[in-house]
Amino acid sequence: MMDQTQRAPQTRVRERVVNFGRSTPLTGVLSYRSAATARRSPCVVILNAGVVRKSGPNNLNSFLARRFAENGYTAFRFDFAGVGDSPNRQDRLPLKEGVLQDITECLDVLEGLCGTREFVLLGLCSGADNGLRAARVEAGRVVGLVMLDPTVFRTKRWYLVKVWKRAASIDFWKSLVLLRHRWIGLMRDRVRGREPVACDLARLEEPELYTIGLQDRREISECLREVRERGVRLCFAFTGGWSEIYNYRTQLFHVYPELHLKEDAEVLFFPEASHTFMSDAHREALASALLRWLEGDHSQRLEPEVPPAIRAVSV
Amino acid sequence: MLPFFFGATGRELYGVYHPAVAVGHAGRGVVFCSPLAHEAIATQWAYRILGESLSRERIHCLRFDYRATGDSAGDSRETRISEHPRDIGTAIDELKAISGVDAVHLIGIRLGALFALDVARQRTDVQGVIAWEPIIDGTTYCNELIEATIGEHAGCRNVGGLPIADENLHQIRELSFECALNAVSCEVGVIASPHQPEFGRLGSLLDQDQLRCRFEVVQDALPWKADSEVGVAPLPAQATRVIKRWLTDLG
Repeated sequence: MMDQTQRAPQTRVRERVVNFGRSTPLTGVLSYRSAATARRSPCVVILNAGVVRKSGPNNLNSFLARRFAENGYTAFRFDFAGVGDSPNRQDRLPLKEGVLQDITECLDVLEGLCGTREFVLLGLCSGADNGLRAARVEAGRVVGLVMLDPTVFRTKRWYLVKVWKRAASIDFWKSLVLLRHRWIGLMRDRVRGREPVACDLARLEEPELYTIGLQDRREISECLREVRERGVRLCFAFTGGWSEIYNYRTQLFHVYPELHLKEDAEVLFFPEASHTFMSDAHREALASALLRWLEGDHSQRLEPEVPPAIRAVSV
Repeated sequence: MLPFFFGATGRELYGVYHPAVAVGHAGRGVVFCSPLAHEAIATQWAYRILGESLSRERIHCLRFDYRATGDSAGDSRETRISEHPRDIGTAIDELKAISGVDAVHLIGIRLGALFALDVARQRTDVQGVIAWEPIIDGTTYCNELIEATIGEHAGCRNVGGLPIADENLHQIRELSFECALNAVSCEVGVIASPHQPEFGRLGSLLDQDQLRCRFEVVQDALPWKADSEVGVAPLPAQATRVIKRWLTDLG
């Protein structure tokens, strides 16, 4: 866990609103370190998690952007068209293509502002899936991809771990003994001839932005292979909030055995953390781990002082 | 919709200005006052839709994040609710400067309504306050926050993923809608729904004629009630219509 005292001494982070976009006026916040020291490449671009505004669930995106900036990395969080503070699409692109268009325009504007051609895309949940699709299109500029709780698939071992964890849980045995377990309720209903309660479909409906990512295992595998071959470094993080899909550290390697991800992908596992990193300690742990990963092989590439373009963006 | 930072260096507030789309209700402006940070994530969408809608009614609007919340400067752990009224004051000055209006209305959801009333008490340029699902009793709300706590660390409680300092809880405990309302001289409108936990208490205060305000009951979903962890609430269409009517009916 990153301790407050470990932060860089000159950590004054400055932020600027950047309004951009060719067809739709998009909005984002650029975080950078004001000290006259060298900035580090790449620039980190943080994508919307579902339909939550750019500051992120529990302000996760603002928090990460500022941690990156404190450590010399310029970070940018922005809203896709129709999300947060960006207006609805003004072109006729379908949402799936529109999101890619927004990311391309974002990288274009950042290239001009920050003078870098190297970017890391970071996203949580559907943001991770959108990041993967964008990395495929933008592999020339995207050098890294951080996927927090992306779409993933169960394995045989997932079921074993689930059963094992349940069997080891005192609550499970207590509910069985006290006849309060869901299974007992279902059996009781069957004996009494009651119909099981219908699933509330309205509750299952999700905004379209959640489901435009890649859903098929083979397609995701192909996409991961392609971006990796084009030099995109991969970092995955899974939380306990995703345990209904992902419940042991190395599951990813078993989901995509053909990719041999173990060789170079970073897999972080936070079994105690919620899906949106609700606890301060988990947020700090995530930031520290991502900074370590960022420093992995980019730390040697230093860029000049804050370029004049950034100063001029203040609205 | 124009997002920008305003306020003093080091204390920059993130705001979004919705300029009036045509000249009309001359001199009319609205500043939106958010509730506590964990509820504000859900209200952002309702405020955005309302801001867009009011700007089409030729009303200038400014919504913003308090210091140390959302996209405004400062770490979440630095959030101090005693500073929120000051931030509202800064936002009022900003809206007046950029739009040319000389007085404003404040719209506040939940605790934001009480902050708005506090500001209205102190300033002469607040024409009216709309209190949307206001917190009625600080002690009851404080107890709700304590019950919803998912962790504690260094004098802060984690409620809904965001820290609330114990110092803030003490201040919340002292708040009362009735007292705040009776301390202001401007016009106040209250919007509440029967789904609100304190609806009964509000109703009994109104029955006893203890509150001097306009009142409207709506059946809308609660704009501050996040839908699970993702933090986005449904759109409160009926309340939006009421607010629009109240603001455009004014002389």
